[in-house]
Amino acid sequence: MSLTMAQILEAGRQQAGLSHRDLWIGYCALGGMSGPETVDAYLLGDAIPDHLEYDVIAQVLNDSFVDFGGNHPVPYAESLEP
Amino acid sequence: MDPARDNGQIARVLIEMGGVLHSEQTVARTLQLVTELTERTVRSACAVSVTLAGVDGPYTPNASEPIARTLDEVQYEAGDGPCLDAMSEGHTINASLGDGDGRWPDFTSAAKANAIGSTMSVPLVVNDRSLGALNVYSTDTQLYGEIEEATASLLAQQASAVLATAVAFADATALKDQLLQALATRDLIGQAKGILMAREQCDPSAAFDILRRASQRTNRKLREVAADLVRSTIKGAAE
Repeated sequence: MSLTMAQILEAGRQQAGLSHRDLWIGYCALGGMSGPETVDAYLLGDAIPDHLEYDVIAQVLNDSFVDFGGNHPVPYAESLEP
Repeated sequence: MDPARDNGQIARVLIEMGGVLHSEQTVARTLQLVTELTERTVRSACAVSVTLAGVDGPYTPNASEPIARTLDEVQYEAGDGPCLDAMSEGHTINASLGDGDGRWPDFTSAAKANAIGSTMSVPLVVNDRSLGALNVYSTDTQLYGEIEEATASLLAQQASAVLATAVAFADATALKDQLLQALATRDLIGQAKGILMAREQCDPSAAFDILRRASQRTNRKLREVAADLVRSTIKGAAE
């Protein structure tokens, strides 16, 4: 599950063309409370985000896809539930 | 040649370039100074430009004469030329265009049409990263001599250091702007979550979920959904 979350977020980050720094700033803007190292660790699979943390990052990515006509392609935590 | 005069001029140039950091810390001003000073100090130079590696490919942020910009752009368009080779190979390209060795056909043709006989491009390298090149054009068909090459290299080294600082400064300024915008958005989203927590008797996490779902349902950014909610709440309170 954690690896899947990491893979989804990292793939989304790369597709959105966001740098790690831009992603973290976007995460802070949406209310995220963790530092950049923690967010990087989520994307590397070295730490497991709780559902809210995961959803905030997914939302940053989905917000950036809105600019390119995408419609929330990054799944939220509830849809990853087994 | 007068080495004492040359050394004195170069020393003044370096002092002048060092002053850039204390006056106008902008990339544009720095590069303008670099091109002007190079044209002034490298003998036989008739036009000087700086190429920078941009996100969308190389570009010329500054040129002492329009012809330098034109010849740079011919190289960008063709995808080859001395300034691009200097950047990719990381060493100085010093070439006479009269020897007809077949390199850079588009550039050579355009240069000759504009009475340019030789060119020298010195890479601008910082921490093994090629940031661009300093390009010196001349009407003379002779290769630039050792002293001219050494002078250009010295200026390019100084320019690279100034450029690295200027880029870092511009980067820091951009980061500051990004963070200010992020703080404003964070405040707005905090207000929206507060409204939802009061209205729905829920915790912050559930309030975020409500905003997230609305964003997904309407395919709008979360901050736009939050802004609408805050606006309508303020409007409702005023009525």
